[in-house]
Amino acid sequence: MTAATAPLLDVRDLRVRFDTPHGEVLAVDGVSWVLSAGETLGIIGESGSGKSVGVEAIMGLIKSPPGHVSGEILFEGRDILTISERQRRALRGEELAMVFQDAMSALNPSLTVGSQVSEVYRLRRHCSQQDARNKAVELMDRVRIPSARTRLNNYPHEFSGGMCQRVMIATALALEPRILIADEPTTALDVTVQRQIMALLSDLQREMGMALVLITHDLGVVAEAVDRAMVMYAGTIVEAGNVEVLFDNPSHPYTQGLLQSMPRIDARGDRLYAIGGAPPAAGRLPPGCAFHPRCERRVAECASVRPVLLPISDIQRSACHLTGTGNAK
Amino acid sequence: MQSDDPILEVRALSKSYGLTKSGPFRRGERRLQAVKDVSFSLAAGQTIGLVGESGCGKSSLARSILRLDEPTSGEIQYKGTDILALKSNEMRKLRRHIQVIFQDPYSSLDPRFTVRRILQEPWRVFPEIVPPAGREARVAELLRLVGLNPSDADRYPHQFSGGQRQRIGIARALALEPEVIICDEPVSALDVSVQAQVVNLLMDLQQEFGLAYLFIAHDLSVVHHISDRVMVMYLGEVVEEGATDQIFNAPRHPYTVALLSAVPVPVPRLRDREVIVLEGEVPNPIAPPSGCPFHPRCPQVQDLCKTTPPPQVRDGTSMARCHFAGKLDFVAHLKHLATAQTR
Repeated sequence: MTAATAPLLDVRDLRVRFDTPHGEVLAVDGVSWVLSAGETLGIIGESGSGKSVGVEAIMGLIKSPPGHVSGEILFEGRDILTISERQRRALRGEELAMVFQDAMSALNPSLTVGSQVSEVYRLRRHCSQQDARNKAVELMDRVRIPSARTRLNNYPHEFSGGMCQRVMIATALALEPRILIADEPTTALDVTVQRQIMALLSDLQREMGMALVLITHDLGVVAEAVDRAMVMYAGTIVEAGNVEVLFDNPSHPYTQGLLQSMPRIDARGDRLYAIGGAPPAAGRLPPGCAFHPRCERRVAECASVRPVLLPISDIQRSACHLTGTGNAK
Repeated sequence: MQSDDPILEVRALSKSYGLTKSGPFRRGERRLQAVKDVSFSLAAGQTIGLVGESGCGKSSLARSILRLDEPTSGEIQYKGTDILALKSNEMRKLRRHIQVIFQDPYSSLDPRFTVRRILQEPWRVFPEIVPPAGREARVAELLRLVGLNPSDADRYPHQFSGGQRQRIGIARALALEPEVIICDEPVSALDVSVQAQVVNLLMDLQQEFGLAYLFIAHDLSVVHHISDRVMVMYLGEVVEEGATDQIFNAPRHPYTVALLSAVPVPVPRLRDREVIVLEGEVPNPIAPPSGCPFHPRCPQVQDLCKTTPPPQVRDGTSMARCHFAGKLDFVAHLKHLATAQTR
């Protein structure tokens, strides 16, 4: 979990833009980050911040056209944006896998759960029907689906939301990937089930030694699960760092605002702090710092010069004109 | 703002749905008990929070109160009027006093109507509330009240963000000058930074007009913030009810404790605290467990719980449906709430 090991994934200046009837939209605008083997990284952001589009680009799920991905995505030093689609496909599942928010709709409603979990063994490992089913049962046991063998013949609609998410996790982990990307894996779930799924992910991560990228808008989930986190706003990273520092000593006004605006189960006040306005619409980013129209501490520079993500200590980086000068505190 | 006279009184309300006996999917006569023996009273200016996992009956209870679904038994009084005895045209008249704000601001506004039309629509049913000559001015006033611009009246819902749409939904609920608003997950679909704005707006409006809220949410932090009293539902029953501080600081039902324990806290150094991870999921409401409905998942389960439904154990103004209410010690599981409070 330290920087001593070489990064498993090295994302450099990643940009994703889409051609739309209303012009070009830059969904991810120059994002760089690294992920070491076995590490847990959190990506925090509101809807439209580019947090999902960014990882979809890493997975190779952006359709082109209308999407255009540029920059570098180095997996073990090799740029996966320059390899063939065939090589890319081989990487998916084997090295990189992803689970999505809405497991119910990510599964095929007309196929049994068993056939969906065992499919990957038949296609990728060329297992016989019977072997693939046995492996599917093992996998479903591993994600703690009770009486896995009998439930193999059930359809997704016969599973609860939490159980569907377990099935999704099982299919993602079938080939023992090195990196699991989980995009809002617990957002649609009740708090008690959320707790079960997060515990499951963390156990599996430890057992299999894989790295986990957790994307969520829920600051509580991030605080409890990750080592490092990045905060995204309007397609860029505005702050990144060690999770303790980020929560105890946030530097960027947006991070500070997000943390303050959360209603807390452990403290009660009269009024919630609220960040004014709303995130900018895609394709209509303000000049300078994208957050400046909502920022209470903006200075003249913020409206014209775009701030760069710079280190403010060895465990924290921030993209704000005020950081480092002491004004942002 | 809060008065002691209840505006809305619900007594022993139950709602069960019959499952089809005939037809291609026939499975014999079975009933689903969605709401079971729920009682509470709501006063002007008061907020009662209603929490529980999906399928616990929160929304069925709301629908029953509005008679969108006819309750199976029980009593609902609005300012002394027995709602369940009203004929459908009388009920329609009464609904102006009890309005609803829905979860999804995308599907609850008609996409073909301008905001003006959306806000004026309720006055077609209740023309006496605002005379035609005053409607334009009233629309502008409502928009200002919810933090929008009077010039927004000519725009369509798709031209607004999620938070702004929820403001339109709130303005529409206010158009009929209700006394009670049922808020069904009103901020669940909103982003964190926008959620706070809408919660503040709801609290400001309550202050100004003395509104009573039944605030339904699965997010305990929001409920904690906004509610005076809280009801916790499990499998159609209210398993614990009490003042917000009592529920969050000294809960007496193991299910409430488990819910509180499960909520992630945005304090990284508290992550290694002892957390109750409930086994399994909410049981099938068509075949509820015997005895206490929570017993198959309860960490404190005893033999008695498996056979005998627990009584309502009262203590002051709070109630818990647990054989061992007040006899269990949950301090270890709630320590983190106390430590964080002093930070």
